[in-house]
Amino acid sequence: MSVDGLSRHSELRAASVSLGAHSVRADGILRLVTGVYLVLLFAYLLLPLIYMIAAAFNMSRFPMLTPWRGFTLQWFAEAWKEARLWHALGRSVLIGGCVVVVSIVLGLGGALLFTRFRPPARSLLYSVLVSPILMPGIVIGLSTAIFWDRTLQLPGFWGLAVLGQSTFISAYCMLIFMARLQRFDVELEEAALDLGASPLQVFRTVTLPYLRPAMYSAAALAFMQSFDNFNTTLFTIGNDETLTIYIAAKLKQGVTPAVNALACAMVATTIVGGVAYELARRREAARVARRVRAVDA
Amino acid sequence: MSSGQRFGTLGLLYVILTCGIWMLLLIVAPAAMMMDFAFRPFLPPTEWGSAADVYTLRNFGTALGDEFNRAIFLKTVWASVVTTGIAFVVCYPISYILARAGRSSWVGIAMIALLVPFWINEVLRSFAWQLLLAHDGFFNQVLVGLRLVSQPVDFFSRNVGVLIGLVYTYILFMIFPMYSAMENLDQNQIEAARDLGAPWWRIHWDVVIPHAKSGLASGCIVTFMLAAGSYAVPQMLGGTRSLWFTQLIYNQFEAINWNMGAAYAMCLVVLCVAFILVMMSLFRVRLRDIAR
Amino acid sequence: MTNALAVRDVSVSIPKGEFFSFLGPSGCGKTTILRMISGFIAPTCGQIRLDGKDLAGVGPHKRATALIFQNLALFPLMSVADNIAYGLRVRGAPAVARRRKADELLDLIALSGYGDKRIDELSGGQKQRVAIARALAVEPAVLLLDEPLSSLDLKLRQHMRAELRSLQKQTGVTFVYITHDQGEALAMSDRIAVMSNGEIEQIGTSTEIYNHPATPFVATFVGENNVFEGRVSGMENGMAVLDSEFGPLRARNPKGIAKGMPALLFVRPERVRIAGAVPVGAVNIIEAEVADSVFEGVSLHILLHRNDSSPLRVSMSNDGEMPIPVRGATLRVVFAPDDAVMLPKGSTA
Repeated sequence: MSVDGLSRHSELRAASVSLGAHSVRADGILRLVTGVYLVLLFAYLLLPLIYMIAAAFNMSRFPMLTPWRGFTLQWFAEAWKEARLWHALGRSVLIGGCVVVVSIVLGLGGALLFTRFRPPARSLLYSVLVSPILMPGIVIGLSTAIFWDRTLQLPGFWGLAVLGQSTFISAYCMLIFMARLQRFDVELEEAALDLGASPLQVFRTVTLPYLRPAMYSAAALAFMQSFDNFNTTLFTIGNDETLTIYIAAKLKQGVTPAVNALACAMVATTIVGGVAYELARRREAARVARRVRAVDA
Repeated sequence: MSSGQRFGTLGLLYVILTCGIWMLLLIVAPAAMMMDFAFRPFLPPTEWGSAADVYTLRNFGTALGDEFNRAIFLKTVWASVVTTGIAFVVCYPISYILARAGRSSWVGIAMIALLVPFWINEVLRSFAWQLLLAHDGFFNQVLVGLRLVSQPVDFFSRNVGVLIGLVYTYILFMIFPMYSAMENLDQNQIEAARDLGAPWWRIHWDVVIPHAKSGLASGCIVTFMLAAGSYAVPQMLGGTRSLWFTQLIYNQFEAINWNMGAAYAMCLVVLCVAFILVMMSLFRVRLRDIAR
Repeated sequence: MTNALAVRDVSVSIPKGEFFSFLGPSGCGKTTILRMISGFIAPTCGQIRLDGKDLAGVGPHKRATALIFQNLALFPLMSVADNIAYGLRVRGAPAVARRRKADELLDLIALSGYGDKRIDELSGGQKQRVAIARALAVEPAVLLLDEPLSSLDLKLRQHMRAELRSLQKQTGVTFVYITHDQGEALAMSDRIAVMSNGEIEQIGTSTEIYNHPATPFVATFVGENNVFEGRVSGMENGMAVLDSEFGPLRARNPKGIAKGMPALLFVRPERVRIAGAVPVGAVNIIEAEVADSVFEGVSLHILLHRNDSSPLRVSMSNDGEMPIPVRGATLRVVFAPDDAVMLPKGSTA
């Protein structure tokens, strides 16, 4: 290498070293910023809930954590005694149960349509059936109320809420079933047919067992979405109340920690149920995947 | 072998009936009827089908022509855009971090920490923020206590509370599509870019964002639509003076003027569709890429 | 999409209890035939008859056929016994009868005691046997097998060939077998139909197909064959003479190709011998340069150089005495006219 080249080479090296040092410093700053960001983010996410739950145990008239006036469970007792709350809870469960049934039936039909048949105008059909997911809940609620009132003079009541919610929850169920069905080996159905099973038997003995994990997912998702729903239910429930409607109404009247207590109970149930569900789902999916994968090998 | 033989008449019937009922009775008919209502004047039942019952644009005129309504509409649009923007900025880093972290154990915990608030009702979540942002709520106590402000801050006016609440409520809808889109990015591309000397912001601009385009667009669209169509959050965190467009819809509904309500609802739908189209051209994605 | 016919003018009659194979390269239409017999595809024209009864309009679940899929299609969520007894279950047989039949068949396929195992616990060969047992459990009139051995390794494949053959003889069920592996077809079948491009080239027993191929395709697809091109320069007594690059060659002329017509002459490598001294009046003597010698242990293959053609192949068993010819040496080989056949020009494999 010539002298000239040597000096240029060392120039470059010096530049890259300083650049390296520069980037190491920049890296450090980036790491710090990321750490701060993460702390802030998770605080932002969890703080309101923690505060709300903790305030339910405070003896103050207005739900707040500070000043702390002493530990009490009176708000829970107050909430427990409210008959209206139990009625609303019952309604939520009733509607949730019905929505699970309706959405699974409809969603499965849709999923079968797109995975087993070749319907004409397939993408148009698909867009129409999936569209309720993208529609604002209010629009679905309003249109449902308008339609049933006008055609059948059906006023707002829990059944209408079931219909309104099912419109879009069925789409979610359909997507879950389609995801599961797409990995299904159609030859299994053919083998069953070939061995003498009627189409109904094939469905019952081969397809449905395969769909079982998806059924659980769909049912859990449908129930959760129905239970939590507010916008669509608001327009279709009429004078009746679900738990979410009840909470909103109560809050409009005036805030007491009894609502906190209720919120606390709901959060606790949701967390326990949700975590249990997640763990069960992962375990079941892994088990089935292992068996199916081994057979394909 | 015909479809009938493969699936049985029962199977065929099941599929046709369920999809038919679902599509026609639950989706198409209510939508069509709502559109019909939007173009008709509000009349008592005795006058249905009479001479006064004609198609008219009067409802829309009131919906958007009236200054008060228009102001609310524009405010809703603006606030939803801001919400989407804030959510985008807030969610981008965490989505990226989670996507790059792969399968390590803390990712599972982080996921659950993200999911848990999401399982809780939006009404309750808005209520929690109401507690925090109230006049003598937590934040004000801290701010006044630390002498950062002399008087408690009113978070509810000027939409601050609503924005915080909206971003909070719909954050998962932004994170999830982003995360999915980023997850399948080949780590090698990032390594290559870094190796070539690109600073971190260039890596994102040139490599990550183009790859995750459809997920980013999807997240923005869903967040905007949820924000614009949100009812509970603005109701509880919006303060008494400032209304959200959805509250207009509900007011008309309660007043039995479903025709006006339908007109408002259609404005909302058109708004959402317009936003989708804008996003699609901005990010240069097609509808196919967004529908997950 | 093109409007190509997958299968054309196929007409076959399979007697009861026969092991019949459809042999051909992929895409020749054999899978289509199987699917038509089992009822998953309806023929656009023509009939499929079982025991004299037309099967048109009869769905796969009502036909007395059972299909062994290439991927086996065993039900992953059921045990081995449940898989085998599945056909009985959907026919409403009680659990006791189902268990008994499953055990019976498990004995037949030498997997006794495996009834409660899950499918993913079995090896490839074991899964094969379960698939067959499952099909046999419904006591079909015809068992259809879609290249069942193609995913198995060599040793297992050879073992399964013998097993399938003995199973078929034991149960007496008609087997319709499709494969692209001609060794399999030759070893297992009572009769074979060689197929190419949707058409049947020849139907016959293994020896017929191998020793008396009817078309150039059959001659080259089944086993190795040397091909000589030329014109017929003379014919007499069912034999003919071909004017080839190596001079006149005599062979059988079963198709009666006329003088002056172009023809192809086929002779198997194992029928070509190294000639010693050249007797007077000998025919079919070929002198050529050795291009390569391939020693495979059991056999020795010699490739002789030809202009404008693939080398002439000579195969012989390793008798331990024969010195291996070196490259470049000149070798004289000969074959008997009876061992060679002349066929009209046509497409080869």
